[in-house]
Amino acid sequence: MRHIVKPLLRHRMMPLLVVLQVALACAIACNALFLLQQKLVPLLTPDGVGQPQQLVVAWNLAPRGQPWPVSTLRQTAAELRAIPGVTVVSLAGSWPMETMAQMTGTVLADGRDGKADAVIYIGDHLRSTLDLKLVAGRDFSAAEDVVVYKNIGIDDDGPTIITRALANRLFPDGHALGKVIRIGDQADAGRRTVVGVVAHLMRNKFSQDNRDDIDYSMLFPGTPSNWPVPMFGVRVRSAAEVASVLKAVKATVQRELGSNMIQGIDPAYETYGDMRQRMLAQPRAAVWLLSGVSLIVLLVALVGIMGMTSYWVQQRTRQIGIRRALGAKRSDILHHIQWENLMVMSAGILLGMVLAYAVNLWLMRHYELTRLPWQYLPLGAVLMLALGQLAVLSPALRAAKVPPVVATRSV
Amino acid sequence: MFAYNLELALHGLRRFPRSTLLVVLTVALGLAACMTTLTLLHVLSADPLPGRSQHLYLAWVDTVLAKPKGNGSTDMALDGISYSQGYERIKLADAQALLAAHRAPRQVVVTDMIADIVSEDGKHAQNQQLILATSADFIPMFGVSLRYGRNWTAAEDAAHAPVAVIDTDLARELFGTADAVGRGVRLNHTVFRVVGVIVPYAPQPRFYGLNFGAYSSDGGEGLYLPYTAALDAGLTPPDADACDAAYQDAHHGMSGDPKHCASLNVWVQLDTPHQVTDYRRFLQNYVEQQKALAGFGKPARSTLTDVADWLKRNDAVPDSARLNVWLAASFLLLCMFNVVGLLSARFLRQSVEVGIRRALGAPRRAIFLRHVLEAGLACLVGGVLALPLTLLGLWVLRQQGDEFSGLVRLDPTMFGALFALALAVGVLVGLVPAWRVSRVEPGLQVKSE
Repeated sequence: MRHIVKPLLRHRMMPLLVVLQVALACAIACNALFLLQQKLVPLLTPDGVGQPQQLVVAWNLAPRGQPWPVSTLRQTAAELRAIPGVTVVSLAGSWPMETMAQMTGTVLADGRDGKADAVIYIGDHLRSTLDLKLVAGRDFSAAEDVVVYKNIGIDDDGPTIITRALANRLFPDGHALGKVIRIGDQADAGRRTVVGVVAHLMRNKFSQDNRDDIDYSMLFPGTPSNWPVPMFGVRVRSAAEVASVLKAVKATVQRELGSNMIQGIDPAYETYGDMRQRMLAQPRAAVWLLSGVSLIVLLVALVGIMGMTSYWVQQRTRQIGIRRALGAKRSDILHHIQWENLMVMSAGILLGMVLAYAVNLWLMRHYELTRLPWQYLPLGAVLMLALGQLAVLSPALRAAKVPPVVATRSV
Repeated sequence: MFAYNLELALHGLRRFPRSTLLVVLTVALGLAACMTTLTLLHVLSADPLPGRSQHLYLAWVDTVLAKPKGNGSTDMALDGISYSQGYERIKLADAQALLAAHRAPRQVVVTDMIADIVSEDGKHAQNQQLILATSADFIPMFGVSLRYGRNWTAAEDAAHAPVAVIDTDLARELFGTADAVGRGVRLNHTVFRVVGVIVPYAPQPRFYGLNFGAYSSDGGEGLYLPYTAALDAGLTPPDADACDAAYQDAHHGMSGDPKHCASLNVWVQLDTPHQVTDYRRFLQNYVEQQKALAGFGKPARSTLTDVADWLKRNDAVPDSARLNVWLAASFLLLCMFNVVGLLSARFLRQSVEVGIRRALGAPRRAIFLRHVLEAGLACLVGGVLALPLTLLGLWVLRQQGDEFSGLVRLDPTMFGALFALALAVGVLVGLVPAWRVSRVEPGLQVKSE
């Protein structure tokens, strides 16, 4: 060990430069990969909606003056249901992948300390229109779906269907069915009894939180009144009929509601698959950008380490020749250079970890980022070590090829 | 001497083409990343109205007759059409009172509306356009430059006169000519007479109309009209911060009716700190005298916000833009360390020659200068290469699909900044290796040879 450390300490500049470079690359790579992972969450998490291309959504319907009466909206829904090729229609207050109307809040498990920030979707026939996979309990009954709330419905009591992730969060013992969830912590908060659990349903605005949070959603049956931005989901029987249904939905909604819409706010008609595509375009673009950045950072670090090590090896050609002449094997030289690299890299990585953490703390304070999970540090370390070994391979092999006879020459 | 050193530096660059290429590429990558993100930040955080914005203040008084919103843990947010978010807007009566009080050198009512703009003959129409309902002081106060005709007057404001000022783009689209003074445009069945034509006006960010987005790649409003006449014509702002409780109970929709809902901004121009203090006091007095507010359990609230604060409060510059600059700056630092290493290795490989030069009488200063020059030259070449890379980076940014990404262009300032940065990086990066190589002892090198 000493014969590796000593020359490093004697010629400080090159190893020091490598250490600094590795530290910096490590800090950047850890934080960039962390940002990347956060952008990946909404792309990788299943949103729970079945057959996204066979679901037509009419949204951004903003009434001029008073909201449409529920009777008008239900009439429109009935007309939509009559379109050939339509299997089920939902009249809803908010919708996955649609951020204009959001209902979010803290929900609490009644009588225990389970608590979560969840998204609420209110509407009739929601489960069947979204084609969510029921993993426990039942769908809402017809009687539950015809309820008309006096207001939006958040404060009313009734049944609810929640996602498995939310069920596990609020009721860790695994028995969510039949339990009560309070919507908000006030005394008069709405109380919802869990009647069903679905596999997944993504919230409609993804925060930068952990993976579970994105799947904390609740469904309420019924129809809100006095809700300014209602929307319709229309499930189409087969892919072949989507285009014609889309056209018919547009015509029907325009006919029923068009005369009463706010000027300047254009209603939108599209498939849920397209909505999802549009909503995820930004995170997807960011993922490409960040992966590009990480790759270039690693590449630059690789080139830098390689360049410096090869100079560092070349400078000691004569010493290597002497060692060879004194009986060192090729593998000894190879391992010497590799060990040396490992030690320099380790020093750089240690420094880099501290730096990465400091940077993350600073970012947390200024940019509302979450804490860098500790798993990233060993991951980054292994990555950098592998990178270092890769960079040193060619100079080390060159060093190992130095013949002992070099020792006898003057240069 | 300088020319000789320059020649030597150029020779040095050519001597190790591979290492030169590596240095140039690394520098170019670092510079391009930095410039791309800086350009974005530069565009986003630019002063919307240089020289004027520091005198503009947004005045707000809370006179909505409703109980203050509780901090319930369940809230509903309607993004897009701002429903719950406040833009410090006030009701019509208060806006008129603040204007009539005339306590500031200049004061205007500002609100965006949406309307179909039709030429008088009905032949040309621009549907669903953003228009700005304001008052007479807007054009002088916000630095809008008139091309033809005149601004409307305070008297025309008071008389609810149907007049309008349009920009040259709209004039050409509607009338085929930029000079459209005297023509008529129809908005909602009312004909507005064009009294003036302005040069297209679109400060970025559009700080006086943030509810319609801070950045617009396609320009802002094309038509400006007196808010009094606009309201007479049945045009209203599409949304409001809040409405009187009695009105809200009867009309549940999103209404921007300024009689009952806070949907108008009042901007004032205040030139001295003294005026600012006075105006602040005036606003607070005004809201404290509102007898109608008693019984709603609200504290008397008023604010006066300057443009910089207003933009900051509304997060007009997205966090991601700043974050990217930090990422890119640290990347540049990494590239610089890299280049320091590459250059050191390369300079020290030439120690033999340096030793000979020193032995022949070259002073340390000359050796140092020659190597700093070599580093600087390499980085300048990197800077040149960084230019196309920056353009590529900006193109990538435009593909990101944010609302502001269409605005991102490299302007001459940033172009100059790129080269200044390249030179600075070159000298900085050259210092350590050049110092190191200038320490080479003359005798030693000659001996080992």
